[in-house]
Amino acid sequence: MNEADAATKAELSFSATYEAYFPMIFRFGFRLLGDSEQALDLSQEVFLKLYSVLISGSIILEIKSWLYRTAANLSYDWLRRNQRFSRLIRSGYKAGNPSRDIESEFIKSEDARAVKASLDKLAPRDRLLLILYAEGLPYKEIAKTMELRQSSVGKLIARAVQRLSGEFIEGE
Amino acid sequence: MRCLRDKQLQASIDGELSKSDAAELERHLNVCLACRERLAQWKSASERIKAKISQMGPARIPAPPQLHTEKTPRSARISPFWRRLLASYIRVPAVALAMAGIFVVGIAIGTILKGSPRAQGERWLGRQVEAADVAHRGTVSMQVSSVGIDLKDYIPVANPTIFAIKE
Repeated sequence: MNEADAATKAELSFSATYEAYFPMIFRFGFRLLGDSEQALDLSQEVFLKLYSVLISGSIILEIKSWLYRTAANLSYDWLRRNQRFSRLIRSGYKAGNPSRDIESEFIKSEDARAVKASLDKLAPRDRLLLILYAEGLPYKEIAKTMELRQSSVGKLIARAVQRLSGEFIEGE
Repeated sequence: MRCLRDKQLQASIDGELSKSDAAELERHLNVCLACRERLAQWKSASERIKAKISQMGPARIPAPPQLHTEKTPRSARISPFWRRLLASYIRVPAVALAMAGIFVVGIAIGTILKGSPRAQGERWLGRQVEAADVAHRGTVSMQVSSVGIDLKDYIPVANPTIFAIKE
């Protein structure tokens, strides 16, 4: 098989993966970042990265974990930036564009917004963990995605569940 | 078995316990009401969280947008060897050009600092005349006085003792 064939094959496998997993990564990004626009940017960045990896001839064995992990790593930076920003807002800084935080049209219900507010109070790692957990990933995949030991996933989830439950009770 | 720890409850709810661990846990639950209650509470909390987060989805999921990946495949189709060679073709002239540039600039700065070759020659001539003047002051002044021409019209030749008359 020559180089051109390999490239075509990589492109084909990429476009199939892109079609299949885009909704998953978009939803994941939305839950992490709470914003459709950012979720879309994040998804595009993730798949561009995937494209460059595939086209270079590398083989990704567990595509789902790889996608989640890449999205999570990218969003860590975004969350850090957001955290700084929200601290600014809390400290009395008035954001110039009030329509920006009205994501309400995208979030289905009042209840979901409350969940988002509670999730935002958690540390980024706990938030990521619970979102992956809610996606229904088994511990093994969560461990792979977050680069944790499989044996510590249960403990971390238990702690995060407790924290989030505390937030829920507080919020009600 | 002692009472269940949080992570055991969690793993049990999520079906992540090994068969033997699950059996052991079951035996403990049969005898421990407190743990049974904790497990039930924990289970409802976990399920609630899962359900709530799952609810929190975007109202609609957009179609995958067109990604701008056109440029990458073309270069990727060239084998790595060729890509390396191509890169070296670009790199080598660039380095050579940079070195030539530095060389030229160096020469230019040197020339400016030292003055032009012509000015240098004139300075050398001046020094020679001075030396000749000092060494043969008597001769020079004698000649000058006897012939009656300006010293400026004399230019020294290689041998400073001999003078030629400039036209």
